[in-house]
Amino acid sequence: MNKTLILMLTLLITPAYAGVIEFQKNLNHICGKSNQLVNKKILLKISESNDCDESLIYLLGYCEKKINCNILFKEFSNFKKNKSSVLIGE
Amino acid sequence: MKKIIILFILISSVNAETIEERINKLENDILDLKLKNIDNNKLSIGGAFHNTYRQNYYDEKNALIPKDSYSSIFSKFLISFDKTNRKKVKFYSLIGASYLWNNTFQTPTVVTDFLQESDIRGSYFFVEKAYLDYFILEKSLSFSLGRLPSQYGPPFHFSVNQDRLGTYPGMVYSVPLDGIALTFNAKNYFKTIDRYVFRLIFSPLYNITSGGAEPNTLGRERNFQNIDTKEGKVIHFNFEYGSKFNFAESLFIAQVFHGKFGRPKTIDNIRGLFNSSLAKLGGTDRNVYEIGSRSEEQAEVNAANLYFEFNSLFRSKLDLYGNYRYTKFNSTGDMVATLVEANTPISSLGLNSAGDTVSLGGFVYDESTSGSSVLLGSRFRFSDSFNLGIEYINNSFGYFPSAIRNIQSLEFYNIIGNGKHIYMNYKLENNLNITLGLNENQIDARFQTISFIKVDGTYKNLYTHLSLLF
Repeated sequence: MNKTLILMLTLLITPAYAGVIEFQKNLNHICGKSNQLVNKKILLKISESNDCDESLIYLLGYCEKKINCNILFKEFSNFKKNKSSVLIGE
Repeated sequence: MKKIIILFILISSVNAETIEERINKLENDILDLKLKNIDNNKLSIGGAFHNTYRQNYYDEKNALIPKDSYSSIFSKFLISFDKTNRKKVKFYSLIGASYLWNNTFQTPTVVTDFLQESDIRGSYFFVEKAYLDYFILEKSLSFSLGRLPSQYGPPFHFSVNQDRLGTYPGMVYSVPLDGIALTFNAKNYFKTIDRYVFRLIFSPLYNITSGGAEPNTLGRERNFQNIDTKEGKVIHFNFEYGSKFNFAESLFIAQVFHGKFGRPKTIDNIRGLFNSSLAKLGGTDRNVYEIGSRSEEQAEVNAANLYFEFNSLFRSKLDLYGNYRYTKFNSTGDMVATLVEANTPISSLGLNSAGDTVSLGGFVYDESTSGSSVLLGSRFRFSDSFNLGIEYINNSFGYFPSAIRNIQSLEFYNIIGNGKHIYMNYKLENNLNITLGLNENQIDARFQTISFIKVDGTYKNLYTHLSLLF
């Protein structure tokens, strides 16, 4: 029981979305693919937090295209939904 | 001299670029490492928090309490842990608790029926889903094992404004079923534009608990001691076809299943089993019973199901969906009630003293029968954040309902009779949705203890549902 609790707490204290690398293609489309450093920093941010905080908005300012932070999270949320287990064996 | 200066400047700028490039490369490598570390070592965590307030009204002729109304508030908290970053093997899980508010402190006085009780399980976490997909051929042929996503399937997601939530059409089965499945995705194998998916799913239904228990304080008469329960099985064949027609984005699912149900566990300490019969005579059944069976098999069910949905019909904001299901039910065993504590002799049934037994007939239905279910629904999306929908259902007597669980815990999909459901969704935020719904059902039969009994009633409820996805 204690081990389970520790495991749960560890997961919850350091949450991050595994599988975020696959979102890179979508992000290249949304942000533009000329600055991969910026894109990777954005990926890191969104994998660890759901907030449109100042540092994320600052990073989005470096995108080729103008992006609304909420729209980025909407896209990411749709991506995660599609990756979640709804269909057996797919 | 001039040439030397130019050469120096050129060499310096080349060196400066190299350093910048190197720093960028180093930063890029660090970011790659961090991202790979997240992908390799973390689970994907997600979840949902559903809250429903419902005002219920019922009016049933000849019932013990013919008319009543009550309110109930309940929550469902779901959390998922997935590991999906491997191409060959993926793992998915979902645990959840569903509970009435504050029933720890006060026993709820609400009348919850069989179906609702099985949907609202309590504050403890329950494994809703835990299974793996092993891809024999990448993205096209897979083997799955575990507690499968066999609940909340289409069209149950429409009324809560979410994307599809389960594999089986909700009307086929909406309970968490353990099993194994083989899936062939022909779209990915043959690189077709339309989506063709075939699935074969097998769920063994194991009952390994001994039917008999030690005598308890309520009585010493045990009729089913040392009788083992018997296993059953459910086999599904599922075919999905999805296409973007000119007139709509569409999905069709055909599914057939064969289910066999063995002898169930005995049910102890049942009080007031014949209350509804005695109510007509002005009496109350104060006896305590044990219910069980000596028949090895209880029932066999064969069912065929067709589901369709057309989204953005004629490029409008209208979605149309429907489901037809036919079930053939063979009753292969009887359930028996044994009087354990005799407080109210019922001589008309031969129940006078402890140990007397009476046949209750078959499980779900008394005799072999068949029935059908028709569900039709439509939703209009006024905007990305606001939509309005309506559903109509007609389930005939003899139909075997198994859409036990839905997000709002409505009886609507499982009734024997007909019903209407109107819902309205509004997205307060991207991940926060509120639903207002009105549901009115004309009931022809009600599930009581082990089977459907014919009644004449009207159930209505008005509900509001707030869901947060994270």
